[in-house]
Amino acid sequence: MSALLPEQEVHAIVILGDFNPSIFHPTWFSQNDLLPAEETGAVAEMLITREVATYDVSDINVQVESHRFGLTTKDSAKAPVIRDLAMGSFGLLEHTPLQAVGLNLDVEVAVPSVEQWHEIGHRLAPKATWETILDTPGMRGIHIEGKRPDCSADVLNIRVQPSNPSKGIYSVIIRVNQHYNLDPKEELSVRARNDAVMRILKEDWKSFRPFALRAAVQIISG
Amino acid sequence: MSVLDTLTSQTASDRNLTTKRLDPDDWFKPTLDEQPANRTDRDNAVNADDTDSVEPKRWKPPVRRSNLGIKLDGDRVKIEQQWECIVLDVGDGVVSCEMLDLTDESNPSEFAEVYKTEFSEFDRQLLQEGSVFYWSVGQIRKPTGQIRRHSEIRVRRMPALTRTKEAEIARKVQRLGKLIQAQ
Repeated sequence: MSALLPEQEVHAIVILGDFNPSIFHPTWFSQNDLLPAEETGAVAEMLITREVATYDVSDINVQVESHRFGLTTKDSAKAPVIRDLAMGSFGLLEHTPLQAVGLNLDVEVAVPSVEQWHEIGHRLAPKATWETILDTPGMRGIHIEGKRPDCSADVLNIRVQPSNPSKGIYSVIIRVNQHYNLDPKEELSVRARNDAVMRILKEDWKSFRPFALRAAVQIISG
Repeated sequence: MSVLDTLTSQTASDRNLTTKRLDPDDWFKPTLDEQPANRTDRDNAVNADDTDSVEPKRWKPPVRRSNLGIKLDGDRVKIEQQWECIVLDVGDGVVSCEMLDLTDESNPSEFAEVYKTEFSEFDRQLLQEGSVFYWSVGQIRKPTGQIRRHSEIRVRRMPALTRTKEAEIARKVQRLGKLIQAQ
């Protein structure tokens, strides 16, 4: 199969901890020099309560709940921006107790033909066993976890699933998640955990995207 | 299943990546009574994989992005190259910079001059020696299939250091200074 390249990338950074969602108003980001006031002032719709803050700003979806801080963008040009937003936010909110971090990249790769689309499913989930149980078994999803060499992440999760074929376009979605448990035994200080998050975002983030893209292309290409 | 699980699991709406744009109305907060992870991959099917009992206790759910589902209709931005650029000098009309490849870190750094007019007006005031901007080059695919070249420049924004951080850095400098003097 010829090399297939990603059609679309969705980047996300998720941090678990104890948050006060109402802080994360668009204006807070501009007042702290994290986003231009011109962009935060243009946010048309938002939901900000004590329990949740959610809105789109600068092609980034901000979603903060009491235990979850999430930044998502489908514009790869903004991938470094969500990293900076997360770093800037918790650089300011340095006493926020943080528990876990996830770097995420979802990649959609279009496959030229339905035959090749099925071939990927057959390769990732061989049907020999399934055909003794079911007629026409098909892979709806596969989830593999493991470690990444030279990376301090606790676990890497890779999910593969076919998209819904629409208008004759066949594609496969690969979701790569690099997960860090900051302090499972709760021995570290809040400050030390904050520093760990900063290190992950500063150092590990850069190599995550190339790794995830290589993984996606390799999974698809075989 | 803990609250943490419900916040990090996928929902049925998450699976196709083909629905509409993100709206605040799309948000819902899962409760212990309404656990999205228990919704099946096929709306009308009962899927044993989704029940708690089959999950080993040691398994910890990954930190996932939004449960809302990312919606990929509309324009699709495909970035072919992306650089982190460090400003070396700001001239009258151009900005000199060193470019570090974010797409492939093994590529050597390059040097370039970029017209100031390429920057958004609100970003130009931030340009000075040492500031950082991101330059992304690729294409935009419209829903009709039309393809446009795409180039975007965005200056990095970081907040000023907090007083605690400043004090911490000062302490480290002092400690290093003493170490150097001792040698």
